[in-house]
Amino acid sequence: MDAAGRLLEIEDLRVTFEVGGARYKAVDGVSFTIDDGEAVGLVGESGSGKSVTARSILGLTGARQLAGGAIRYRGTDLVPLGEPAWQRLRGREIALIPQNALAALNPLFTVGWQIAELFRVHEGASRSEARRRVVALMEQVGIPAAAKRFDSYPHEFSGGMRQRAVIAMAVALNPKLVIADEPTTALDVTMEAQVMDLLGDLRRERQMALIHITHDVELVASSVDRMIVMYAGRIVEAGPADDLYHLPAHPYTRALLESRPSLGDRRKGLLPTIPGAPPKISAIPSGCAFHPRCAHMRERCQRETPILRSPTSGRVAACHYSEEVLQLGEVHTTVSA
Amino acid sequence: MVRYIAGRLVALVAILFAVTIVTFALAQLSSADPAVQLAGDFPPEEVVQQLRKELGLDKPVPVQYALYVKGLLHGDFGRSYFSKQPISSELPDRIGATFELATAALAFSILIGIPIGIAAAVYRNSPVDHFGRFLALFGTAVPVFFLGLLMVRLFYTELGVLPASGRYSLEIPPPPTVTHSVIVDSVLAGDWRMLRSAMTHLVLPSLTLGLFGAGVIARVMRASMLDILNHDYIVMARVKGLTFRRIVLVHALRNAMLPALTVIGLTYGALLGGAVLTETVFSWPGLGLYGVRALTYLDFPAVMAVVILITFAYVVMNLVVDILYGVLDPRVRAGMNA
Repeated sequence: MDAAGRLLEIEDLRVTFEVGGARYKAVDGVSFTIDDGEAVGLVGESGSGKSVTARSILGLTGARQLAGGAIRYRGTDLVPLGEPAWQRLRGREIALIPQNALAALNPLFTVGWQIAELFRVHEGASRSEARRRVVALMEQVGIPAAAKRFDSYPHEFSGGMRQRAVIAMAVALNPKLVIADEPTTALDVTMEAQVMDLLGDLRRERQMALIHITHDVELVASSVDRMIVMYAGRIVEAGPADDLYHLPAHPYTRALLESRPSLGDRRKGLLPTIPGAPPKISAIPSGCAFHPRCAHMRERCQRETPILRSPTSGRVAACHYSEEVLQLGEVHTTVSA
Repeated sequence: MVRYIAGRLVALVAILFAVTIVTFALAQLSSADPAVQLAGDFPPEEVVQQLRKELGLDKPVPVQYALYVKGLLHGDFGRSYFSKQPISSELPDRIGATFELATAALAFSILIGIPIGIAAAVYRNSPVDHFGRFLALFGTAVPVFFLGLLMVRLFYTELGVLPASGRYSLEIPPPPTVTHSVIVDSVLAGDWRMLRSAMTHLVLPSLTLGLFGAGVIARVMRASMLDILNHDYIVMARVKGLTFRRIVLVHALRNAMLPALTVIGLTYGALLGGAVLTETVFSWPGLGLYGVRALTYLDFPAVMAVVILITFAYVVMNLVVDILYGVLDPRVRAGMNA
């Protein structure tokens, strides 16, 4: 593989949590890569391991939890290097847009100060220079009256403005990779669309790679290059966003897509849902973890864990019967533009 | 903010007023006759009657109360049954002594308690944490008088490095009284020998009292720091690539200080009311000793004066803590301005 374009390489990542003396697998053998400037959607229900995977990339999982695997940034495995290596990368190379902006902002410092801190600590900018750059950045992410808003505290910002403020914080130092952890869940639909547009613009202007973590396939399908679908701590399907969106190879992906309404939907009656709930990490089913909820389940699925394989070109899926799932045809009769 | 403080000051006056009613009522319930108390041993009846008239004791109780409050407003706490002197002339030195002791003790409490609390939270279950736990247990469980005696034994009897009683060496003529704090007065007078004497006399009693406060402050600081370090904004600070040191000392400390501030303020309020046991062990002529003596001799005017001062100290410290909350936390400040 071309080393120059390869930004991040996760190999066989395993994260475990200890609860009441027992160890449970939250992430179980996840591998994927991110190239320079690439946008990837990391999709899954809560408890699928997507957020834990993201935290691991930022070095936020403790040594006790990180049970194995390699996290290579530009070819260097960060796991054995530990905290100092991550500290050098955080903010400058890898940044995070958190889910809950209100909780992520320190209530006792002004929003401007908290963004300016990046310039001051990492680049040694003077107070006035940092202020000037922060005001410009706040304007760029769409915070009105930025010069005045610099001195406001987080509780004086609206929800949408706070989300823009943490986005400004994430992109301040032009990182090569931004991890957005459900950046729009706390927002209403209008605000969600605005923030998605802003993220797209910033990514193009600053040529950043993006990992967009979400439970909403529909939301990211049109804005990312590739999608990775996780279930119960494992990747169940990955491939180009368009292909995967229209013709999934895993029953779980398909079920996720079918349970979303879309414009021009001609289906009648109740919206289909996925029966049951995602498994707890303390009770992951045998064989294929999805089998109790799967519409296409057969006897083999209960005992044999499917491995990721390629049922069609450019795609990997962990299902014994991917070919049959592909035969089911396109999910959406109307293509959303 | 100004309106908030003004409102609180009005409340302060109301509280003090309520306290005077309670203390006055209690004094009325006692069987001691102030005129007899002040007239000296075996007084002739005419003298007692004369005094009764002078003190207004022949008037109805509400009028007596009104006279008492009127006196208070002029800084007149009445006369001590014990010394026969106006209490207002006895108090300033006592307040000065207690103020010195309380302030130095608080400084020790903060300087010892805050760093240990932070270190215990950051290095949880490490030797620092265990030491902090020991200190907290020791500071709160060991009686102050016993700790005081240990201090005297070690630093005075064994090592002979620090004096064990009084406010300053009686061999040195005291500086002219300006503030009733010997330390401040000796600085004002440029009397360095006296300053040195006053400072060394202050070390043992204030360290004894301070260790007690340090234990409490360290525990509160540890708990609030542990709580703060779990917040999302601390994770965000890590994600910004900040050093651990900066995260703790800049991002977490200010937040963690808020609960500690309450304890510090109340500790100071309590210390300002006079530390009876410590003042007794070290013969420190402060409000605590004064209050104990007043109680022992049923010296009601003096007791009332001490109670009012203690109340005042508490209420003022509460107000100061609330204002500091506003200074540290913009959300509280917004509430104050509303």
